[in-house]
Amino acid sequence: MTAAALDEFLGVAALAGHEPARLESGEQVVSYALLPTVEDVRRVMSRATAEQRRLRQETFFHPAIAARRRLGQGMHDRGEAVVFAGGTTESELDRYGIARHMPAHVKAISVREKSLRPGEVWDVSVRGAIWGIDDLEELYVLVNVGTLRMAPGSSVAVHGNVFSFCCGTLVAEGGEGDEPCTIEVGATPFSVDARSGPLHGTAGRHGTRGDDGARGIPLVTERTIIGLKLLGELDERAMRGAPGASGTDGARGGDGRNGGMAKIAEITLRRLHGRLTVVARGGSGGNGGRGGDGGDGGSGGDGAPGAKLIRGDIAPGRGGDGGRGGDGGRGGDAGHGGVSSSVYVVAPPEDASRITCIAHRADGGRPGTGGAAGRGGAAGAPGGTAGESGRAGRSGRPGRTRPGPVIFLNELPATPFVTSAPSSNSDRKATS
Amino acid sequence: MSNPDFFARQARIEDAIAGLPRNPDTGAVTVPNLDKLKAILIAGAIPGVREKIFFSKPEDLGDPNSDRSEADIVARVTAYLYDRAPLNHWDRDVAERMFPLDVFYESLEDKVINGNFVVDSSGAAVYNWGTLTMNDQSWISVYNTTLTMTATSLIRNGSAPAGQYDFNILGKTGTTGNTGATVGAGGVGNQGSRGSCDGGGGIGEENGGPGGTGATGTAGGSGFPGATGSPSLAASITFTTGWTGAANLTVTTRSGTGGAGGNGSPGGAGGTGGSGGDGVTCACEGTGGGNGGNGGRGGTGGAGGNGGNAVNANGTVSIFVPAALVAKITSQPSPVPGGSPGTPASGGPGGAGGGGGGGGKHHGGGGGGSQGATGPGGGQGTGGQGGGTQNPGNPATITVSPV
Repeated sequence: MTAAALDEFLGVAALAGHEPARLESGEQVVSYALLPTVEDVRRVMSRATAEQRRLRQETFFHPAIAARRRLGQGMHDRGEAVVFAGGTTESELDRYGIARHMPAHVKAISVREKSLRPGEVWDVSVRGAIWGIDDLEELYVLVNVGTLRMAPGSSVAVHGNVFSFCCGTLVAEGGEGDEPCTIEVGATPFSVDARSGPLHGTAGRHGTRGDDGARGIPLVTERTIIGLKLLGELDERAMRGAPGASGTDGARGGDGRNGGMAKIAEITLRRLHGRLTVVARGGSGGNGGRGGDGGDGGSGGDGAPGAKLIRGDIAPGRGGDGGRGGDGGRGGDAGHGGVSSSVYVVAPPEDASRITCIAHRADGGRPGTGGAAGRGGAAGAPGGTAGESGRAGRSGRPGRTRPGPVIFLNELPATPFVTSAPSSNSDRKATS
Repeated sequence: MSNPDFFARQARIEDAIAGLPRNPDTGAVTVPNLDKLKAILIAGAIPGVREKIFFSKPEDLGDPNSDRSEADIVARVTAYLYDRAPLNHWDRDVAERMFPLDVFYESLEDKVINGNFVVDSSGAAVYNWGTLTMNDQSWISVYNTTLTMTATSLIRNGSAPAGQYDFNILGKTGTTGNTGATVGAGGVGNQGSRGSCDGGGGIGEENGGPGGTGATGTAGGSGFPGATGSPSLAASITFTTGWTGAANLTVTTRSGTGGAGGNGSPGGAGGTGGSGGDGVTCACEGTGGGNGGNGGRGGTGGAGGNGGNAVNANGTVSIFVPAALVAKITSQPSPVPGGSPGTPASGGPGGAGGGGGGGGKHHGGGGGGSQGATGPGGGQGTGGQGGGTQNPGNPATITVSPV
């Protein structure tokens, strides 16, 4: 590590309140801090120079970010521009909104030297439980490493936190044919949309089967020396079977929620040995729940049997009609792919060509299939009519696929600006 | 020929059924018309007896022009079959419709009975025996069947088991009513409305609405009424030369008891309360989830079905023995009760309370949405009503006459 890098390492550690002596001893220091103002967040979280901020500001609100200007996330974007680019909080509403999120909750890690084994994942993410707050709050992670030695296939991962990574020297080991060393900027492992509940929509309740119709009331007869005679009054209506009740409709499947959000990240490398891959992605949308099946219609009751009576032949009662099957419930709509903020990677120009940037699109969820139609109830015998089947439920709407984050390498876009997902399945990949 | 009486009766009966198809399994012959049936019945009873089987007076038979109920018609047709009255053409037309009919016929010079000898035939039953031997602990039970039983003599060894008579002329108990129809649970309550944000979208406005109360469970189906009993029918039992062995013979008759009412079916479960409406996340804060709805009340239990009516006997019981033995016949006619009512069912269980709605986004400085409370369960439904007990049935008259 160069003297300048060591100075920066110790300087960032000081910002995080990490004692030099503990770091000198090789300890990995982890702290959880509250930063009162957005200016404090900027000072602790970003290593960008004034020129880098100016350049970032020119493209900060690229089309994918600009498209959400009017959403609540727009206010967060403008706040992040203050922290990582050249933004200012000119709007009173923004200042009010950002103040509501203060103090900022920061997990800070400092370690002078660290090695990752082959395939090891160093997940530095933090969740709100540390502070007793909800995961939906904006949470920050600062990682400050003097020298990071990464064995092939190892990775540093953050999921759904605003991320600042500063490394004096990163040694990415391995060569051609080895698994790459990776820094992964992933999405929150939960949805951050305006709804509540699980990511995948729950299946709709099945409809209930209709009650069976009652059987016709049989004739009451008495045996005599020449056959049967009727006891009581003849009630041919009562001999008919009652119709089965309709099945009830299946319930609509629950909607999938939008995929988790990949938040802004700044990755600062003062020296890179070997090849590094930076991967970023939003979360896939949740699948819509299957619609509930319609309940079957109840069977029509059988008519009472007829009889040959002394008074004449009595025909059997007509069977009741089967009940209609319930309609299948509509499948739930799928959630959209999660939104993503930009990732800024800074490295020496001579090292930048060994950094591969990959932005995965966030796939929309699969729509829930409609519930099956309930079957019509069986006809009562004789002469009843079978119930009609219900209608099958329609499928829900598929989720929209969203483009992956834009990754800037030394303030130039390493992945393209797009506002809608590519039609093919290919992810966007670029090597600067 | 050791038993000339028997063979003489057999010859008369065989003559009456000559040419009629006979079921080799059941012994029944298929009788094509009214006059053939009359011939068989008369052949099965000895002269001097058949005139006494049918006791209705001509004036009790009604006017064939105006008294056209089935009971009136059956009475006049029966009088004709036992050669006690002529038959008008209206009644004949009605009666002939019922043919062909099966008549069970058995003729044996020696008949031995052990245990319970059951007669239960859809048509009339005619027995002709030379010597009937009833061993100890045996008895004869006739269910809802017109019977002509003639034997030259009876050897009665021992007696019927306790609670039984030597001769039991019975109806049939009506069938038990079906249990009431099974019913489903009440519908699920409506889901509460979703919370809302204010117009600007950033501030929570409304919490999720409460879920609706689940529907009351469907009332359980009432038990079906028990069927009316089937009556005892006319029976004649003749021993032309009397009996040996037991000092006395016992005869009872009971008509058909009403069938028990069916049990009610339990009330349906109350519907589950509707889920509380979800709170929403409004950019930086959230609204609370609605409380779950109350579970629906359980349905009322189904009433027990009414017991079936007992039925009066439909025909007399006539015993013919030598004059010296008439006093040694002990007869016991007994009325029968209507059917017992079905058991009412219990009410359905209350529905489960609905789940609370999910809360919207929490935020330290803002109003965090909370999970709604689960609604209380529904109350237990009330029990069903009991069914009614019905009318008793009167027994047949038992007459004992000298041959």
